[in-house]
Amino acid sequence: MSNDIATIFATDPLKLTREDIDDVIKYYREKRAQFVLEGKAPKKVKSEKKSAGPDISLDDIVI
Amino acid sequence: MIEAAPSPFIPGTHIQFAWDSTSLGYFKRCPRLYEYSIIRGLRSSGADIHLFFGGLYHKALENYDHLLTQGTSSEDALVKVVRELFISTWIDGKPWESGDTAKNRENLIRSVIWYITQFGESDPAKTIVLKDGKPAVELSFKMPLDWKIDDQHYILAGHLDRVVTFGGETFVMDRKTTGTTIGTYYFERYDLDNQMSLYSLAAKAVFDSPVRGVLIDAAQIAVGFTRFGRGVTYRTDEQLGEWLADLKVWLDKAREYAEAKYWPQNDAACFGCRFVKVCSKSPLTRDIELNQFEVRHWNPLENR
Repeated sequence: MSNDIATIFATDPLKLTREDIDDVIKYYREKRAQFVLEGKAPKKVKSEKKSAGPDISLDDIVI
Repeated sequence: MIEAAPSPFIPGTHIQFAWDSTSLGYFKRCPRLYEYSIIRGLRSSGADIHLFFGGLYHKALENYDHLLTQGTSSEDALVKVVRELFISTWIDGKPWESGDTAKNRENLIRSVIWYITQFGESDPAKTIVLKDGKPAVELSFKMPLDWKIDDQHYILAGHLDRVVTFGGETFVMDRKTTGTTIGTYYFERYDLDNQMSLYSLAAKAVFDSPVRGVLIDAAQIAVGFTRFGRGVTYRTDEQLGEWLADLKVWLDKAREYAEAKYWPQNDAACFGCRFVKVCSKSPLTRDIELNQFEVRHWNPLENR
């Protein structure tokens, strides 16, 4: 929370101005916009998992 | 001076004639839970932060609905309810400290601002206007039933948040706050929920509204966000008829236990019950355990 908003929250609400309330509303609307944007962001594509096993060449196979 | 609500019991007895979804829910779950919660009025000590948070959230949105119907602009109504929230959560000269990371003062104000920003004036759920011309918000009801005890009709009481049209159909809208993720699983629990059946019945019978059921308007309150979801639970006339028929059986049972002055435990319903530690003690020492609770009687006839 920004310092100004924290100050508003710590203030006796009977002393809050219209501007203070507007600032709080603006702050939380910006937070909401960020949240909505994060929800719509494409998820990272997972990279292909490399095989954990040894590489075997046809020359190694004994019939 | 606010007049005290009348007692929901037949005078001189523990026979409850006025019921709401809370008292009915307790009785249906476990008669002993009902005895402790309603007959004896036992509550956990200290403030219940969930009730406090949920109550203020409800009140803020109710006030917003009211202001809109009175012609106040959405923005001015939002400013007014946010200011009221700041005031309501200023306790003994300082900010309310809930001790909870999710349900606290900042997240309460955030949740109301986010809700009104998301729904507000463009809410697809529109408040209906009743036949008397008043908007269908904050509707308290006391619905007498056909059954009597002595000369007293049984009464079903409650409070509807709103009645709305949504998707071309009419519903009671009920707001809920939760810490859980809202999805199909969350809403399924309401398909057999006592409160939703009672609200559907009341809307049809008392307010003569052709409701299809209840639109649950849920808010998930998390540490860093509030997420909203809406789900519908339907009630057909046949389901409501069955619910009423079952209610008669439940009320007869409640009377039987009250006359015997004995309410049995339902030991199949103890999970999550606040009295589980009490009931698991010997009957000889149980009253000592009950001293940890405070007495605050729940009255379905009390006006909200």
